[in-house]
Amino acid sequence: MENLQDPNLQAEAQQDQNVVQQTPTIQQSADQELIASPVVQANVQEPPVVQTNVQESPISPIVPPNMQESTTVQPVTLQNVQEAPTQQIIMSANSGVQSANASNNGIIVKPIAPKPKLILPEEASKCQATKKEMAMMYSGRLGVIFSNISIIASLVSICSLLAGLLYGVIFLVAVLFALILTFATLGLILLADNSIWSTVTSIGQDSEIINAIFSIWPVIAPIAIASAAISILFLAMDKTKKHTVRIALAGTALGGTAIIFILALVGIVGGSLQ
Amino acid sequence: MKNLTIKLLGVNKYTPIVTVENQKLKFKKNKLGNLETSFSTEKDSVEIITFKPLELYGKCWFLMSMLFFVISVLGILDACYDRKSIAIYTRHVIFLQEGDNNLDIVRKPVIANDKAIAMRTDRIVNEYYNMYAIDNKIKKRKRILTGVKLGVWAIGIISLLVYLFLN
Repeated sequence: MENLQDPNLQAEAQQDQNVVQQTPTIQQSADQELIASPVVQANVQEPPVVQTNVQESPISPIVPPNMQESTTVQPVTLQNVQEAPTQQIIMSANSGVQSANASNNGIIVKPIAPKPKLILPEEASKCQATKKEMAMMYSGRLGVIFSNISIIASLVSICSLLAGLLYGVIFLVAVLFALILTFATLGLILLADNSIWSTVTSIGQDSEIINAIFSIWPVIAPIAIASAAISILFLAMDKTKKHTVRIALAGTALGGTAIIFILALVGIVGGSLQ
Repeated sequence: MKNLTIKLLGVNKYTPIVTVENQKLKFKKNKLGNLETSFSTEKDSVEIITFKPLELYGKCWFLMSMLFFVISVLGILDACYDRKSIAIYTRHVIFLQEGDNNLDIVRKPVIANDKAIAMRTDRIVNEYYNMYAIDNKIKKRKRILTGVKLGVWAIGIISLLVYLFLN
């Protein structure tokens, strides 16, 4: 409504009003586009108000005293909230609608001005969360962090344990490669180099990287298990938000890592006993 | 005595706080899995406020954020804060009748400047405020946090480069 103080805008608004009064109807669709239709109410002087199935109250509304002092509140809309079959839109001059085009049936009128960004009213600052609610939210965040740690740690520990299998895999690939080469050159390679088999079998066993990866699982696996357990605990404590997926992920990480960890420990103990 | 039964629908992930006459309501799941509670009063009308506090509303927001930043390995494993800083705040007054009054509060999808909830009831409701709105206070705090985190990262990278250069 501030824009109406400008004489140009006032003139434009008056013109818009004239045009809209001639128009049979204006309905607003969900995507804020206006389409001409048979029922209409337009008032340029009023602020934007949406009335839905308006019913007159038999008793005058009782407004509590703390609500009367509010300044940022939108104009009061008396409404019965049950869905109405049609909606009546009262347009304002600053809503940025090209009303002239609305007179043509079937033409979609697009808003020119962007939607104003709504800012929380000052009265909203009175609504404070209690310490318990804040603690719940903080525990939820801690749970998310620990679940991330557990997922990554469990992946690393599983990969670390699986690195032991890489010896065999690399050996098989190398053998396959050697076989292909052997058959492709019809044994010429064997004739040229008699020590090829000893070279092939040594690949993988000398890899320092695989050894390093394999050596870290006893450290990472307990971290994964502990962080998964902590994350489940914290996520379960947060009642302001649901963390079903994260709890499931952390549980999976916990279970998977624990099983592999126990199997690896049994293998080590069994190997040392033998 | 007027009984008001309130159901919360569409709040699968985030549960907003609902107050009636400045009393916070505690909801319990009913048989259908929806959150439900009841409220009794002698008044003809009651004020219903719905809001969802954000994490950065707390008094120790900076300390807690820094703590989470450290625990999450410089924020790598941390969850992002809500980017849009959209808060829920609604204020309605419902006019009650003798006996039982039913009210369903249905939460709507988060769209800025759109309605946050829909009130389903056969009673008369005055709507004073009902929007997903941008909270500038939270926006400002998030900017401060982002600046501090970027500063920490910059200092870390510079010190690492200096260390590598000297060695």
